[in-house]
Amino acid sequence: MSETNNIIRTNKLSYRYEDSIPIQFPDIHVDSDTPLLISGESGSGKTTLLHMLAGLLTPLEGTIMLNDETYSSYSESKKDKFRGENIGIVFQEAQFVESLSVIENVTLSPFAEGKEKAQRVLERLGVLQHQSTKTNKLSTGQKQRVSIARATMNKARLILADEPTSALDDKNCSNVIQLLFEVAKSNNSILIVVSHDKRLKQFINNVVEL
Amino acid sequence: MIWKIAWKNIVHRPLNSILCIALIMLGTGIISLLSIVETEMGNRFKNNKADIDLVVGAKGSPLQLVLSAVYHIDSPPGNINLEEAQELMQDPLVETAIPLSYGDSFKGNRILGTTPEFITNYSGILKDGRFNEESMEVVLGNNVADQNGLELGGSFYGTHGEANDGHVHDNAKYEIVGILEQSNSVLDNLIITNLESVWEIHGHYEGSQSSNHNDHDHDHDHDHDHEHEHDFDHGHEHQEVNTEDLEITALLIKCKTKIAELSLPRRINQETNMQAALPGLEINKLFSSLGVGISTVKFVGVSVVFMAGFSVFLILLDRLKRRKSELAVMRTLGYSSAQLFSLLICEGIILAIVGCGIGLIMSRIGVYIVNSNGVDSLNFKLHYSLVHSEVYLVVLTLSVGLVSAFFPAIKAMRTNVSSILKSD
Repeated sequence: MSETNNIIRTNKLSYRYEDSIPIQFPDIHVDSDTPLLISGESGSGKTTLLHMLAGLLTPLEGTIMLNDETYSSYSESKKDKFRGENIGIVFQEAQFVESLSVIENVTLSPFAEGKEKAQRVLERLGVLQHQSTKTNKLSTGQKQRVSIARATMNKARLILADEPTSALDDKNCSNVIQLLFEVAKSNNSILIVVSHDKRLKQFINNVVEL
Repeated sequence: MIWKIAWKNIVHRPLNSILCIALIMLGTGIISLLSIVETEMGNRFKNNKADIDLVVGAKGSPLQLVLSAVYHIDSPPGNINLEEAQELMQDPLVETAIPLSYGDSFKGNRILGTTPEFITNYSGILKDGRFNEESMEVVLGNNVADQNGLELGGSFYGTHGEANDGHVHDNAKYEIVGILEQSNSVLDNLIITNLESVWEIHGHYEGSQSSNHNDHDHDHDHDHDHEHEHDFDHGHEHQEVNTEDLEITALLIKCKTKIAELSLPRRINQETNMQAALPGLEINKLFSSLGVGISTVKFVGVSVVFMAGFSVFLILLDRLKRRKSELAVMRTLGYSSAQLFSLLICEGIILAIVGCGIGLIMSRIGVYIVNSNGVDSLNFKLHYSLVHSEVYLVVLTLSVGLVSAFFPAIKAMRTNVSSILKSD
């Protein structure tokens, strides 16, 4: 374990959607050395958990701590800033600002490091040649790589990946998960993957079933 | 960064943006051009009114009298008898009276017979030469000299009437003794001479020093067999003149008191063969009539700007529907809801700024076209500089852009990121 290891902890998290009973979530304790897979069928609440971890939803009860910061109780604006500075998110379907080029999308975050780092990351992920291209011209695999590049541009201490491989074939599934491992390791980031894709269990041993 | 993204979003869907910009441009362009015309006309009418309280001339339309004698953009309703005019000039209620006599022109520029007080009244300053002293000497307005290539020491023949193809008075040559500086008043487009020149050319008067007046036969119906001393300082020591036949076109009068401004016209209109008109009153009437037309077209312009605002609103709302996931992604990257609000507001403002900017440019092109295609008859040119009311126009357009973007921006701010991003 490295000296500056990042740790995320949840404690008795629950969430309630309108007109439904609260969902209880198991506690999570994970550091940047060990990626975590949150698995479960559709409707089990794994994306809800991911959104709480990302600070997009506020838990009904319980706390989330990244290192020593209990950010789950922050105000909306403070959470926005915290997320921008500390969390990178990769979605199943990569979403971009259509009017911007690849490099502009990668450096879109107000907390993103400069263009040079973006180019280095894009080069490492094999999509540097597309840096000036509009994102709607990219293939699904290329989009996912750009999405991963964007998630690491803020020196993220926590990388959250929501169904990053569900739409990919085996080869691309393996490539994407290896890329995520590599990026998380090089940034000393905690990696949490939320997916119902059973193929991921062969890559990630630390699994929480919902 | 927000401005950059907003600009890229506008450029990304050019057709929608062009429609908004075109509407804003059309509205602001119309209002801007009308504002320039209105302001310029107002200024020009105000400047040219100078210190004149009353205009006295032949009976007829008072507006025609004012337009012809003060603004020099119409024919006079007729002439008035000099003796009757002189009687009025001696009236104790009159502070100053400037006689005008005209009927000839040179290449469309009116040749005006008057006294030196006329130039003083408009604060005319000599650029070259001296003021006219003798008969048939002229001082040129700045535009007259520039546009006709006339120079100090040169000469020309006048044309009867104001049309270019009128009868040329080739028996009487005018000598150019002075050129005035640009004054942005009626002086710029006038050729100033003394009253005697006008009378001489039309055979009413024979000055002793009319050296330029040829002796050849000229068709005039008047006899000049009376000796007369009159009040106008024209540099002659001896004239033979029949004052009963002498006429002038108008008198520009400054009254001694405000009460005189009211009583004198009434007396002139009731007791003499002349007519007195108040320039301020007549021009206000004219502006009231023109104002209805200008206000109507301005209303159309403002309506177009508001239509443009509505189209900005619809387009931003439509874009918002398409871009929900984009905005959600921006939130995940650390943008606050206030920043998303700003993004939409910026888009509205950019559309308004670009549309308004192009509208102002288009109005200047309009000014160029108007100036090139003849406002000469009105004796003024439109200026390209920003007029005061255009500042309000810019503020109005930006406000429309801002208000139009406000509701879509509120919706953007309230975007439920989690529900949009949910794939579970």
